[in-house]
Amino acid sequence: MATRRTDIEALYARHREPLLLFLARRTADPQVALDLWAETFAHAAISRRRFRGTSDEESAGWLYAIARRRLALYYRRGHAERRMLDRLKLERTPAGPELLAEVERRAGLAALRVELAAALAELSPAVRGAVQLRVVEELPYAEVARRLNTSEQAARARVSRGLSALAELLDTATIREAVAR
Amino acid sequence: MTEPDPFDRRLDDFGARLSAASAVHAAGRRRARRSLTLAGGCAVAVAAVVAVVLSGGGGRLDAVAEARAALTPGGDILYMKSTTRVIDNNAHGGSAPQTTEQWSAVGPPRWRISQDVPRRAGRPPVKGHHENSYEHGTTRTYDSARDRMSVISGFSDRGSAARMPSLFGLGSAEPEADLRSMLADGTVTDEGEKQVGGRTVRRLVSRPRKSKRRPLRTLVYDVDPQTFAPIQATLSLTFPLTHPTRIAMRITVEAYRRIALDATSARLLEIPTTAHTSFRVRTVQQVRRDNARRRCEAPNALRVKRCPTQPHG
Repeated sequence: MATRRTDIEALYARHREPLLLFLARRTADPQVALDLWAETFAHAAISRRRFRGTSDEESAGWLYAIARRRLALYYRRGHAERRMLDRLKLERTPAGPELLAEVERRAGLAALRVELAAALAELSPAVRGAVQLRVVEELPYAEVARRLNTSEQAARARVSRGLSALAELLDTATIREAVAR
Repeated sequence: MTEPDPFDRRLDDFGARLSAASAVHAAGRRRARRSLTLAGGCAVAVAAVVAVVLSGGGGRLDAVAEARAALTPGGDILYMKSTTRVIDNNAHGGSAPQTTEQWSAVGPPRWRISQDVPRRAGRPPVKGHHENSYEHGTTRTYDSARDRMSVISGFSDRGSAARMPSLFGLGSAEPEADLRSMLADGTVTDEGEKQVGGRTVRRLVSRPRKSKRRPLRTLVYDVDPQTFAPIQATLSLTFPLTHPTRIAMRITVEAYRRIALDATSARLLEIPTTAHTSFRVRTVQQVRRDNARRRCEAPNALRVKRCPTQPHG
């Protein structure tokens, strides 16, 4: 049955856990995932009148689009927004270590690391090296280029290619998994 | 019947609160102003997770935080701990020293101040502390004794609410830069190097302008001669018109350091609450309306502009 436009409770009941685990796997940080998860549902509650879909699949896609927008803002700004929670007068409650551990366990973060390691192994050495230097060692692109004995433009392209390949791997798996539930 | 685990309990609890808040919001719903747009950021998101794997997978939060810091315009958090003592007060008795801790960051401006409540002479001791913060257009004021938080949203990052109240640097999150700027534009004068508590400081003095209405306010900043990091400040207030009242207080900096800003340290900028904290959430427009209504209802309301015309009896 399709989710009614105003039926935020049904949307929450259906997606509360999958969405939280989706966010945990995207951030590898249970506390941040909880913050983004709460903000996503608050956003959905506030803007649900604008949702024009009729099916459960459309409502799931709409909810995950909100979540991905929250994620993008989080990675750009370094903190989870709370504007929609503030508008609903819902304040953040602290999460205890038990809850954080349970989110981490249910999200399978340990397994995710293994999967990603395997995915990384499939990248070419040049691309993997560029990702390592830029993302982990936090070197500027000029230094990445120097170490790889290539141009800065080529170094940027390798990093971009590496991250894009991994993003594709993650996206198809996690989104399909989340929306299918 | 088994007790739900913390995970299910949290999800049940939030669901109930979301449902209730959503119903209240729907009742007084206004048109939403924002539109949803899909954003990219996938590569950046993946980068943080990749960092966990490539760095060995052990340091879950640290590796992610480091990757985030590298991929976002982070900067740092300035932390300062200071103690304020009244050193001269001929109008009232003394009070106990007050300890203040503050954390601030720029771009966008964010800050948090935590102050204990000093005991005043002849008064019973006061429990708890007060906290204030500003972040993304929202101010928060927390009273630990009552476990109560007041939240006001709708401010601008360019407005005065975004400026941290502080004697050092006139409310900016960067006291060193502000003190240099004040020296350059003549707001403070350089009185050269002095010896204070066994160390050499550079003394900057802000002298008062003569005013018939305002108290004379003299501020003496002692800063590190090289870095301009604040060491102590002395504020003297005199009220020459009323009677020779004089108040002087000294703020001594006990800790002053920078902390790398990442997702973990950013929580220092948030006021911690308990599971029982009560919240009062308003917008700045609501607060202004409430204040205006109170002013208009006051006995001297006729003096207040913009009050609705009162029928003359």
